[in-house]
Amino acid sequence: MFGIKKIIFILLAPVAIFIASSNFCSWEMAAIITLVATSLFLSFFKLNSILTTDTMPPDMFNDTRRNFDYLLLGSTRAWKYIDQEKYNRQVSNRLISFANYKRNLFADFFILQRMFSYLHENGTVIISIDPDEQRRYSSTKLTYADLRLLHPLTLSINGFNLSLTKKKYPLFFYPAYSVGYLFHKLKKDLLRGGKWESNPAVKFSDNIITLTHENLYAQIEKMVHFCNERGLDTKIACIVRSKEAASVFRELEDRLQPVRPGLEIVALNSYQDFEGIISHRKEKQRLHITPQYKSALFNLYFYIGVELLPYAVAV
Amino acid sequence: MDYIPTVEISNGERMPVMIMGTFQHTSYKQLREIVRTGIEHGFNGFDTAYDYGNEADLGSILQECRGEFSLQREDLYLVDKIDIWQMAQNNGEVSRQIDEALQKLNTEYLDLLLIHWPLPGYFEKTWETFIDIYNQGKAKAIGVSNVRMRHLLQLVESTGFKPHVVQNERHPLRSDSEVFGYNQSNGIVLQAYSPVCRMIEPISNSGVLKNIAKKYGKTPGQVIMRWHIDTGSVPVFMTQKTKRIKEYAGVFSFALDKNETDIISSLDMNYKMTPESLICPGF
Repeated sequence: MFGIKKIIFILLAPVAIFIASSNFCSWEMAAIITLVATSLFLSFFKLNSILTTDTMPPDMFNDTRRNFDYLLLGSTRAWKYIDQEKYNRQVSNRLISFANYKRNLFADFFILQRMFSYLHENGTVIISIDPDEQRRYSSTKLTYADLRLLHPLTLSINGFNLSLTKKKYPLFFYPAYSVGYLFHKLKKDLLRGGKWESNPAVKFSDNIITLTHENLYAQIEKMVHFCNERGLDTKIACIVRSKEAASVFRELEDRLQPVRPGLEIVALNSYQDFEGIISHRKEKQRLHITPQYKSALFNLYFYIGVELLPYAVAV
Repeated sequence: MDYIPTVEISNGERMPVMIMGTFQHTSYKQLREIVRTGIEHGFNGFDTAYDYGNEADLGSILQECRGEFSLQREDLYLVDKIDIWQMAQNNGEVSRQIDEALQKLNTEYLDLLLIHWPLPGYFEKTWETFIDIYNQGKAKAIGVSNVRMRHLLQLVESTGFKPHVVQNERHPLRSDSEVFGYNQSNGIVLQAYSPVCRMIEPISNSGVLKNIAKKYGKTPGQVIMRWHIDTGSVPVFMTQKTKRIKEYAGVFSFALDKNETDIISSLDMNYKMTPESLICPGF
């Protein structure tokens, strides 16, 4: 029913624009205005739809993928060079990712609480941390991108404010976030297969972080405990690109492994290392269902000429 | 009027072996048609919840049906649930919400009252309120929904009061054997929601189900319903098509043998239509 209403609206809107504009200009001009307005209108909704599909929790009735092996959380600049969807192209339902550069562990814990049921029994939560980006993980601020993933009850209990309308139309209410997301999605696709250690700006440094890491240990411990209670495995993937990061990694090992025997804490210093973490798959019966929703299956290139450019012009 | 068979629960009360769910029925007209068709075919158990948004509609429709079909309150079996918002907003003290539900449903008691989701931090407190409600006679039985073993053990350990009923997602792709086994050994009846798993492709294309259906001259949906009944769970089905109600009313003319129920159970791959934590964060 909603679909029919939407189609009627899409068909009638250009007619209405044409009639309205022809009142104050020639019909040729009215036709051009209608064409431009319709293009912008459709681009807006299409791009908004891509954002909604990609950055909101999956629609459980339309997206029937379940029982993933890995749930990926955390933040690192390395995500810019890692194609997370590649793993699902190789083997279905391998990895579901809510990791995002600029996400802190405070947000990750809320996301873990909401998304862990996408894992099969005894699935694995991978928490990636990047000590060199300590400003990220030590923050307790939630961004719009984080809030979109949380349950309304979580928002309510914790006093976070995000209206349904704002959630529904990111392109309108959060244009900077939206355009940034779409731009990075495009850029990431273009850089697919790149290796993050090849970026000299993020290579080994003597970066000294003076702030305490207590917040990191406490937050990781809380998340590991949560997973343990629910019978899930946890792996901590620590990006080691500096002496400071190496010391954080060692301290994580020293502090967590005695209280959490069996917990894997892995130091990563290359894209290949990350591949190793999820290459040893647990053999388990799985369900092969083709996802019906559009996320990740949309190729943004397709929209560049048709929709992104008119939008970019409008901006 | 002949109603479908019943099963006895641990406190001596009886429950229909199939119940009609009302999830996603937000249109009064459609709900009325479904409920009336159900009653005409012998279904007298109806399941609703606060967050389905149709308690008042269901109450009004059942009131109308009671007059028209000459039904007594005892002829109907009403299931309602308290949801996570109610639990959180009232810190588990949900007596007033239960009274409101009774009012909406035009009844003095519920046959079964369930905690819809085991919301961490509020689950035990809500259960304590439920025990009071049960002792007051406002609910003939109480139970929990969408639970794992850890939730059941937590409840029993903290209050010493076992639920009479557990309502979980159960179908051939998810036999929920751990909770089901615990329930069977503790006299708890398992109600199964999403009993046919929305007939997604692995179910609708299952050769096993098709072959058994062919043998009995039934549909795969009827075979699955029969599997529920023959393995001891009570399917809570939801449909928007009246023909489906007629179809499911025809499951009492045959029974599966042990071998067939075992084969269907072997389709289990722990597939959940509802990822619990998506609805109930922290689950």
